[in-house]
Amino acid sequence: MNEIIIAGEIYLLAIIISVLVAFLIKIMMGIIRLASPKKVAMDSKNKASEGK
Amino acid sequence: MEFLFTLFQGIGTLAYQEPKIAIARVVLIIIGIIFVWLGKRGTLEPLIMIPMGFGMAAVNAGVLFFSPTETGTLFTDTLASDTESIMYALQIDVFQPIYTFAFGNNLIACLVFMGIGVLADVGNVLRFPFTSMLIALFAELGSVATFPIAVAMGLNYSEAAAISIVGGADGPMVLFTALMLAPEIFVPITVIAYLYLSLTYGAYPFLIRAMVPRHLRELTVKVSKKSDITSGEKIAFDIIACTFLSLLLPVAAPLLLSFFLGNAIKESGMTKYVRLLDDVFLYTATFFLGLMLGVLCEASTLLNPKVLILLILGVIALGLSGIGGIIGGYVVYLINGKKFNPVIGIAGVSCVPTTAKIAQHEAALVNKRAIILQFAMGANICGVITTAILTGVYVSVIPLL
Repeated sequence: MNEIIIAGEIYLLAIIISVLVAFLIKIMMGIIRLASPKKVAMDSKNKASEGK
Repeated sequence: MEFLFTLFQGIGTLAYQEPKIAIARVVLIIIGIIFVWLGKRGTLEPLIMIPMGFGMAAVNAGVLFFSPTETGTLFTDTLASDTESIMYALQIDVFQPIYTFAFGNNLIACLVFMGIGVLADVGNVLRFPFTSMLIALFAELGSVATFPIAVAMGLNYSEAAAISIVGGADGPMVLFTALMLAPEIFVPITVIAYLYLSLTYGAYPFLIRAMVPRHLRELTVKVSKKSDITSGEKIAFDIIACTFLSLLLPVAAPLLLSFFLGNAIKESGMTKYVRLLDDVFLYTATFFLGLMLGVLCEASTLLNPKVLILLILGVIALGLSGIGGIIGGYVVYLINGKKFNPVIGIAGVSCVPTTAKIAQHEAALVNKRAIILQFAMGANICGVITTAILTGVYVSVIPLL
């Protein structure tokens, strides 16, 4: 019984860390996308300058 | 006869040793030859099995007399622990330098992980982090559920944790955990792990067909129109994930560093380093890993009553992980409004890239237009990350119990 509880606790720890990593990815991607110049705007600007 | 036995000591030691050791040596020689044959046929992974089979056959054939009462080989001495005996072994045993300087300290596992990092694409992890992580967590079922089963079968906590990690289907992680927690049985655990990992390509398709009906296997998954992930974003993820996970799990930091560094090198486009890690490090490490595993398969090492238990537990661990992965696939299928192929779940078992390829192959068998590889690779890479997390948790927690 004790081993099952230990295994459950280890799994829970792994789940918490994995979810934290997933959140970290989301936050990181959000920050990167916010900080980098808007791709769509850049593309349209480039296209506009191509025509000149 | 005495003269012949002294002249041909490999045969002479067979007559001198205990019958059970002599029989085990002959059996292991035959198994070594079978491994080479199965590796050549492609039934088992040839990159590991051919060098391993040669090592196994040679180490059990090449036993000689060190003194009238002592036998041994000139390959390696795993029992050497104090400075004097290690120095002696380094001068006498041909593979001792590799064992001492690359195997026993996990350098070889780190080199393999650098190579895996180069092969991996974390783009899909960044696109679908929660989906990929959820599948990977389900696919760790074997790594967790095997632990109490192993303890019930008579193993102590350290040994139980070491064999449980086989469920993660990640060879270097198994090697790492076994060396950290159960060095006395790391040889049988690692041999069993690599043997079973070689067999996943043949066994998992049957598991998929048993658990996923044909009409679900043929489901296509719509590719989202999310913008491409740039190499800069991937490198940012590599360094942040490496630092964050190393902060949480310092014992797994060398492996985490190796994996994420390999990936960052690939993404930064340093082709010379990519070739170094992929062509040189990965294949050199894999070759010596196979060879060393074979050389370590001495009859006296494997004649351990725990080997049979480990063989059973290895199957249980990998089987449960496969089942857990497919259950994870079903959970995502239900969450996504039945617009997800549950076969992708098997890719949560982190045998990169084998299980992802199996998932794609099984889907394509029933529907040639079912392209699920990118989702499978996301789950696959998350499987590596969750296995590293579980390894770190086991190695950190078990010694405290």
